[in-house]
Order: sequence, then C-alpha cells, then structure tokens
Amino acid sequence: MKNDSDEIINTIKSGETKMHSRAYFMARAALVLLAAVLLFLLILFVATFIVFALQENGGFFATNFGPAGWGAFFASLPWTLLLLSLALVLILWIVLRRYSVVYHQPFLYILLLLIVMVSLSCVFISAGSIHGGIYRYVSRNPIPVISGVYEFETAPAGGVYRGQVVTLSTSSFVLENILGQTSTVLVTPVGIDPGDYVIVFGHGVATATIQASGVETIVDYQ
Amino acid sequence: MNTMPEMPEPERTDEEVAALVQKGDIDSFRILVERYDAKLTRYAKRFFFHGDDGKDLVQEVFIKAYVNIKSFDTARRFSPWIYRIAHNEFVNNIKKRQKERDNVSIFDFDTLFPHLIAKETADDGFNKAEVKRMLERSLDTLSEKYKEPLVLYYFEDMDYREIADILHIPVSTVGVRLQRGRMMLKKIIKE
Repeated sequence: MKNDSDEIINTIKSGETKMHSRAYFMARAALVLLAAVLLFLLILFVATFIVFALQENGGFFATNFGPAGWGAFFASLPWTLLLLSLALVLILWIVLRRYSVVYHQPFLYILLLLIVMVSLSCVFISAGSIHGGIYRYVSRNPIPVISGVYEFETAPAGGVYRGQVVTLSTSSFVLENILGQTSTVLVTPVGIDPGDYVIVFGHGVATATIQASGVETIVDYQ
Repeated sequence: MNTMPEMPEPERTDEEVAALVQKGDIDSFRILVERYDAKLTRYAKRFFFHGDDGKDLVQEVFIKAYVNIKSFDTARRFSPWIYRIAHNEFVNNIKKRQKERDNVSIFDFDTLFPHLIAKETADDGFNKAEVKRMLERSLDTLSEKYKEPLVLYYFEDMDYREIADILHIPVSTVGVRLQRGRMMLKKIIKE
C-alpha cells in the first residue's frame, strides 16, 4: 500500500508540480520592493502637498493668532488628504508585512517610523518647489481631478490669507497671492514693507477686500 | 586487521535536507515529508478539522512547500516556515468553506499596539501538562485567535518567536494571546 510520502514524491516526480526557481522569488521580492518604493514616494508626494497647502492657505501660520488661529488651523487641514495618506501607509504596511522585520513590530511603531521618515524627507524636500509649479500650471490650464485637488487657495480656510505686500497706504495695503491675484487688506500697516511676505488673519468684507484682525510677516518664505 | 565499528551517519537537520532539495534532490524531500506528516496532520486536526480534510490539506501543504522551497532561507529554522504554509493553507480552506474571513483580521488591535513582552515562562499559575489537558477538552470552544498560539506552544513546542513567524504577528502579541487564551481556558473549565 502506498503511503503519503510516496504519493507526494510520485506527484512531484511525474512533473505535475514544478519547483519555482530562485529567480522567480527574486523577481517577486523586487516587485514588492518596487511597489513599496512607489507607495512611499506617493505618500511623500501627498505629505509635501499637505505642507504646501497649509503654507499656501495660511493654515500653517494661523496658530500665531491665538485660539481663533488654532481654529483656523484645524479648519484648514486637508482632512481628505490626511485620510488618504493614512490609507496609503496602511497599504504600504500590508505590502511589507510579509517581511519579519515588519510583522515583528506593532503597527503603531511602523506608523511612527513612517511619519518620522516622511517628516524628515519633507524637511529636505521643498514642498513649494514641487507643488508650486504644478499649482500655477493647473491654475492656468485646468486638468480634471488635479485642478480640483489644487483648489484650496480659492477658499482660504478660517480667514487666513497669504501673499506678498505690493503697495502700502495709511490704512491698508495691497496683497498679491501666488497666482498674482490682488486684494486690499484693511489695516494700518505697521512693521511691513512692500515685498514682504505676510499672513493676514481676517475676513472678506467685499470683493477682494479683507478686514484684517492680525498681520504677521513670514521670514524667508516663498 | 582490526576494523573500526561503523559509526551511524549523523542525522541531517531539516535545514540541511531542505538545502539538498533546493539543489534538485527530490528524494530528500521524502525525509521532510516523513518528519512533518504526523506533526502537520495533528496540527490540522487539533486546530481546524476533525475529518479527512486535514489529511488532504496536509498533502497540499507539502506540495506547496516543494514548489516554494527555494524561497526558504536555510540559515533560518525550517519548522516555522512549513507551519506558516500550513497555517495559510488551513485558513484559506476555512475561508473558502465559510465564505468569511478568519477572525484574525489585519486590523486586530493586538497587532496594532505595542504590549509588554510576557515572559515565556509565565504560565499564569498553570503547568504545561495542566494546560494541555484543558486544551484537549476545550479546543472546540476556544476562538481560533487564541487556539492557534496555544496549540503551537503547548502541542508543537514552538517558542514565541517561532509562533510569531508562523502567524506573522509581533512576538509580544504571541505572549498576550497565550495569556488571554489560558485565562479563557480557565474560565471555560470553571463553567
């Protein structure tokens, strides 16, 4: 009577089952690695975009204006993109979970490590240089979906406006944003000069007119 | 002329045998099948099945092990590797039959957050023989999430790291599941 091992060995020897080559496993590992690298780059792109969006809509600097500024900061956070980046991190974790170095660690540690890696990368990558060009391009030449993503400037969250001072008068100044659109800011300009980059905290009172409750200069920022 | 008595050749380790199979020695694979057939059949029966399904699935495990043997790193231990294949095969079979996910989902809180690593010797006041007896009696009532680490630890004599490699979970999670599993067993026995 045949036993189990005979049956298995006979199945193998009959050629019904073939051993995968080492090259097959190397190619598979390379594909996983490639997918992981692409996912990481995508996460980095989304993260730098979030930084860029917060810089452009002023949310990044809103916390300088006290509790109301903090409210503006949270209102200006691109929650959809934050959820998207979290989803991408989850996908990356699932892709890499086949490796012991990943599955031996709790997800929280992997998440923290990725946050640190992305944050460090954001420090070295200029969000403005990557996304500023795309933003200006899609503002002039709308591209479906992408233009929608870059629409944050048209509705600055929580009354935060960012731009460069063009001219000053005794009770107002003219502010130009990244797209070259100008607004009149109603406030006595103190400590600012034409050419300065500023954040204005206030509310719109008429077309292209902002009643400011606070103005901050941004140093070395474009 | 005096002849030295012939010394029996030392038995090759699983990893050495696997290396031979990787080089194309199909017959050496028989050694691995013979070493693991009874263990994996017992594992299948204890964990998932009580009929003949387990036997067929174990054969499938060996075929998959052969097909994928070149992905095995001979510097590591062979047993967690083949038990991982068995675990996947059994879980997939259960999913197919029940048309639902196994209850160890990827979003299991046990694997998301860090835990203090429970000591391997910490048995919560139980001795090994006692837990084994309790497990035999209550296998069907325990949830799979806790049953599998208990079976691997108490019946298959795996350590925490090997269990972590089979289940693809953090080592600290293995400790937590064993601890909770033992408490559940205690509760079930009391009831």
